[in-house]
Amino acid sequence: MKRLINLILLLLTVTALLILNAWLPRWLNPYINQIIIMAGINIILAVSLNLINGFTGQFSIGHAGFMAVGGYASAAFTYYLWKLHFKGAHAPGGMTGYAIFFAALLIAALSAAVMGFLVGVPSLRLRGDYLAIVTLGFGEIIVALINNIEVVGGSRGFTDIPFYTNFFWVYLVVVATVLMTRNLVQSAHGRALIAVREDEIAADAMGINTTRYKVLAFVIGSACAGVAGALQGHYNLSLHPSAFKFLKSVEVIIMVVLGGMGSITGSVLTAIFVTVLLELLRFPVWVACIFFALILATAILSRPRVPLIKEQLVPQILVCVGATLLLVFALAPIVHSALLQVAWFKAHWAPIGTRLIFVGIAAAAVLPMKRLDVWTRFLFKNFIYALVLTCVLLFARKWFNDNAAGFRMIIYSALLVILMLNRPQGLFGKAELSAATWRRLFKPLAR
Amino acid sequence: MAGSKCQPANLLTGLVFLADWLQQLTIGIVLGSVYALIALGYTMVYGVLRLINFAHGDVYMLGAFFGYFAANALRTAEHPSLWRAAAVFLIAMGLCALVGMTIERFAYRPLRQAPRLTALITAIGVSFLLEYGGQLVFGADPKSFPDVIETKPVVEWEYKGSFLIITNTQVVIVVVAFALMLLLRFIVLHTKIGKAMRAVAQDREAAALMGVNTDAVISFTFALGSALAAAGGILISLYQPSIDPLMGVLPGLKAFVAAVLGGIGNIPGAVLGGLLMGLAETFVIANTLWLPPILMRLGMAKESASGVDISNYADAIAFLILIVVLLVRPSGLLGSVQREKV
Repeated sequence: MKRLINLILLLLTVTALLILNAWLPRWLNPYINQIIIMAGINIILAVSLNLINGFTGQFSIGHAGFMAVGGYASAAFTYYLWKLHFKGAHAPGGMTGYAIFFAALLIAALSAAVMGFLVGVPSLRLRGDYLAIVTLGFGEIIVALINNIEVVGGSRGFTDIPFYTNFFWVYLVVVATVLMTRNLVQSAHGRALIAVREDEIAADAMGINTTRYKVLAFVIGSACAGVAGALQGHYNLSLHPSAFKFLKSVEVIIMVVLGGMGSITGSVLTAIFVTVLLELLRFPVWVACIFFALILATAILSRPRVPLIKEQLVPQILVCVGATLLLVFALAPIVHSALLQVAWFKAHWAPIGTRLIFVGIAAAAVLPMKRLDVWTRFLFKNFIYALVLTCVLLFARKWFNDNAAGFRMIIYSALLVILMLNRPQGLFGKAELSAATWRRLFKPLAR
Repeated sequence: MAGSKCQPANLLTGLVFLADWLQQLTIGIVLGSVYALIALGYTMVYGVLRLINFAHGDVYMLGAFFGYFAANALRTAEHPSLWRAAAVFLIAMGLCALVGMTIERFAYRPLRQAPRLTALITAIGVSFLLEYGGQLVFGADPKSFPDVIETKPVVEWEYKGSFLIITNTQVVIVVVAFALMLLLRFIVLHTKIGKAMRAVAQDREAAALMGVNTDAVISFTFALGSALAAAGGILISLYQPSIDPLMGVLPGLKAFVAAVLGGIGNIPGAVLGGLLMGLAETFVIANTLWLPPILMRLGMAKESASGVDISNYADAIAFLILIVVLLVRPSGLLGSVQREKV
């Protein structure tokens, strides 16, 4: 019976994916479709790295290397199959195309898994930061080797890869990765992985073959990363070695840590969040909005651990009020200019809009003041970041607007630091997103 | 950069290219001593906090930029003198020490009790902040570092058609770097704050119980490491006078590798690791006979007029050495194996 339900669910998922695959390009513009695909690939990367870093506790910082192996192996397969066997002007499509791409994904997974095994074996001897540096080294060596292999384009990059990746394939792999990770973590093997993370010596003493489980995590995690690389290669139609350097690995680690080590839903959500955030930050008007929205959100979410001190109440209230005013005056014009981008707002609300926005932001800033201690602690904690950015926005708006592109990564990194300072365990910690999480989330406001 | 082309030389022909060999040795030691200076910052911070301070490479970049502004303000290019050069060094080192302490105060201190990976991500965030902030403030295009000392050769030697040239800049780099390392050794081994640093590195809680102000000691460690990185930044700018906001990324990574190679947390280890990295980068690439033919046969290297070009492998070989060393000695060359107690 259970097997039947699973089968029906699987069929439903595949049908839903196929329908969405057909309709999404018609509903949404190509740019948004591209972001959706990139988000899917990042989900695969983040969840698979979470298996290694979050659940098994092995510190790997070379995930992009595995991605490169999978991407290049599969791209070489499809490209040379097309050029040497089919020899058409276009790569074979239709059902043949689907079959070829399925085989390419398998090749990507296998080749990356072999690399994962090679890296996982040294983890028999190495621990913590030493393992991290070896994974980093493997990643860099892979990139250097690819740089020199002329068959796949060398340092010029591998171009002219056939186009196979679409919404269906990406999200099929996303579903497969998430389900596999979840089932693995909840099984006996998963408990062994978590035992290795919590205390390797104790796990060993309990009869768990720690080596085997560490290598297992590496192999599965890197296989998924390889598939992600294949998806990316057949979407962008080109692969470049420099795209798989240390920075890419860092991007994935950021998603994992931000979402919470050992939280699958956390990884999924932050992968989407980071992808969308980095795209939104390309538009100058959104840059400041996002920044302050997130500051406010973290202010509400971070919970106090220390009660207010009576003697310091007056200066704290003063700081609060001052900072709130600064925020309102810096933020209102920016929100206004962002909203002016929306035609409907411009037509109906433009004249009185500014005043409304002033009031709205003041209300949003006062809302967390209901819990004054939260707000104060938050402002003290992030005083320097808040001050610098508010000053920039208040006094150098023109300079800011002229250099908005330069601010993209600055805001991104500032956000990263602020989020980490306020939620050191990541947005979700080890918890999964469930009904209980929602209740907990809104508790500070309800009280 | 030297060592970009492979010379067909093995042990036998190596003697013929003796001058060439010595030239590679010089360049290796020059680069290595700068890597060692940066690696010291990594290793000291790791020692007291168990934190890989990824922003360290960018503090080195800031050091070079502070040196650039100081040298322009003091007009060292027009009036080169020892005092001005010293002033450039001191200003940059002082400013970087302040930057290091600020970073520690606002980005790392709130995370003392947090999981280690959180602090690591924060360090990466700070590193991005410095890199992209640097691009915004200083401009993304490379700047030419003004002359602080007049470059002239001190050794010129020809031996069977190959040359050995050592410039005074190279000598200054090595001398200043090693003088700073000796100073550091003195501070760590023979002063009160050095004793406190060692105590914090050994056991932070126990040190705090014994009356050591751990926050002050950690702050001092950051200041010391950042000042050394600043010195490294200026020294390398004397040698390769083109500076840009992303110049710290690769040397930072290599210095980190050097610190791990020597055994992270171990100060002599960082110096050894740094020198090895510098030598590996110039030497292994310049003087191997066995590697190019194999790579050629695999179709993974191109032949050019002056031999087989394997400069692309520079970083890969450095990492390969690292991996091999770590597989043989899992806690670095000089690192001690710590037994875990249950």
